[in-house]
Amino acid sequence: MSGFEVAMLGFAAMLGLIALRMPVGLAMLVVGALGYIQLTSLQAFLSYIKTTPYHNFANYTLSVIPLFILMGALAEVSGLSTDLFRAARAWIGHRRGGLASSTIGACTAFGAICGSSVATTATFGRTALPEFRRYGYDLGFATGTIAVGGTLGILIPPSVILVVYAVSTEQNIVKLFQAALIPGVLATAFYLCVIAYMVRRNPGLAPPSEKLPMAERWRALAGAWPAAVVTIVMLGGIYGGIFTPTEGAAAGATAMLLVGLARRSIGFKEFGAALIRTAETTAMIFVILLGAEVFNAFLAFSQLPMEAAQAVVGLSLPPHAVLMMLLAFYILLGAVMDELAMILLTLPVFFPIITVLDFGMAPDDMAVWFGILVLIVCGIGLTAPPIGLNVFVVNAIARDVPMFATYRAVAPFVLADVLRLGLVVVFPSLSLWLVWLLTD
Amino acid sequence: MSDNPAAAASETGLRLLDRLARLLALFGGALAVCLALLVSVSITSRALGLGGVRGDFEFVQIGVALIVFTFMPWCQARRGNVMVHSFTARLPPRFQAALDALWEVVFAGMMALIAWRLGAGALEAARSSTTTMVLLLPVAPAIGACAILAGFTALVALAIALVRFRGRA
Repeated sequence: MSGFEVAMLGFAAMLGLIALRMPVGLAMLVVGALGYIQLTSLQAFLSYIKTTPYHNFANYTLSVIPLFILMGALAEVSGLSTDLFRAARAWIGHRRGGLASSTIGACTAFGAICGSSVATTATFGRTALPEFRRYGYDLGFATGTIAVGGTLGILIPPSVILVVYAVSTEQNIVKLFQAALIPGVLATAFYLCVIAYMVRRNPGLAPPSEKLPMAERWRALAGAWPAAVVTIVMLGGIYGGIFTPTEGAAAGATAMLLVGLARRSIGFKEFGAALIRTAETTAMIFVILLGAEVFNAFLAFSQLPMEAAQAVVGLSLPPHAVLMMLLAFYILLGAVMDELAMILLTLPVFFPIITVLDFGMAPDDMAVWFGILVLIVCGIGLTAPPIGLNVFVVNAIARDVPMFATYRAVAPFVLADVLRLGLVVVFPSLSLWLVWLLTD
Repeated sequence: MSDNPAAAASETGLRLLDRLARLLALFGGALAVCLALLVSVSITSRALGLGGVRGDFEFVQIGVALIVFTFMPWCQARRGNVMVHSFTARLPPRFQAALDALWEVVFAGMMALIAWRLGAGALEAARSSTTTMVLLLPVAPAIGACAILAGFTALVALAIALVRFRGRA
């Protein structure tokens, strides 16, 4: 069997095992190991994994992941999301659909602290949902908004997905964080427009709520200062090149902890809960990372990525047509698969294809731009049926709301996301302009 | 089931494993907090012109590996791994449980393999006294700790598999 055939067989076997409920990381690990042995030898594999699981994890770049997750978990238990939501609500809550807009606004601010969409969704599911109920909002509209708002956790940097993209394509994390900012803020703007449109078309979705006096508003805004400080210190430091992403994450986590202790919102119980949450999320991600490492080592031996890239070049299709096909494939795959596993599985094959195409820009710029496109597609996959992870998370909190109602409310937001994806495809400078501005 | 002394014993054993996994996760989390504090001290002292903590990135590197491996048993105990349910959702629950138990055994096998190989890697690092570049910290104990933690993860996975097979019968 040629390497190419073994690799194709490996892909098929792995997808089959995943369909049969095998954990994604494990499927990659098992198939990767067997493929590795088939293409080299058992001896070679045994010596490969003698240190790989250690050296693969003992990695400075990857340390960002547990630290960002820790920061997000501390923010979650310290009730920071409540402050953000209260501040946003004080200013825009009385407008039509104001609770929904406030949720999106607060998610945006929280997304600048938290790098995970599931954590953001869960947090606002607990914080915002009771308010939606209190004011008699349509519950599907409420859960849909929260599920969509949750994607801002990854769309607004820091973002676990971008860290993983940076590691697996050997790109600069800082540049990716810079490039994600404008498309992320654009997402917020688009979501607010969608809310405005939806409540105008169907006012029954969102009954009005009372307007707060000015003094109250300022007080609520002042309550959000810890979030603002942490965000400015961390993102400002990373963007300004004052510290590495790991240092930014460490500083952010420390600041979050200090804020929580100072406000007495983090006690012994909350601290423990934050640690446990960090453990669960981190281990889940690293099991997939380990599986992807072994699977990709196998793929590299099989030459499949190179041959696939050459085959695509041989077709001599216009670069944008290839890009469109890849993105369409991602949207389909993201609808049924975990986003992190999806990018780890596909990048070893897709990234070489993208790098041989000529989009008329520098290779580094193109890699960053493609990373942002992948990020946007992941955001879509997180809310799109049938497997929108965020929808699952919010519906696990709001058990009385039918899943279908959430998906129906999510649909217009997904359309807005597809539009935004198109904009960033057509205007790469939407992502790259800030990178150019901040570097050199 | 509690009439059966063997079942009661295994239940106690399982609870013990669960407790231990949770303790390890808390320990790993505390380690992550320590790393965050260390790096923050380093940044602060650098900002004050005192220079960063020497070789702080080496602590970070070793730290991440240890942290991740201390987290794994708990993730396994809570069955926190990402999986796709959509294609098997219509199958009988017993069949699903059997599949899950089977994969749990496979996971245990892989983790045991990793534990064995990491152990060999640790011995090799000890024999050649491999150290980190700046601080000259020996690498062998860190790899060895990861090997032990991987072994413990395998044990947890196996215990869960047993519970699932029994729960089905």
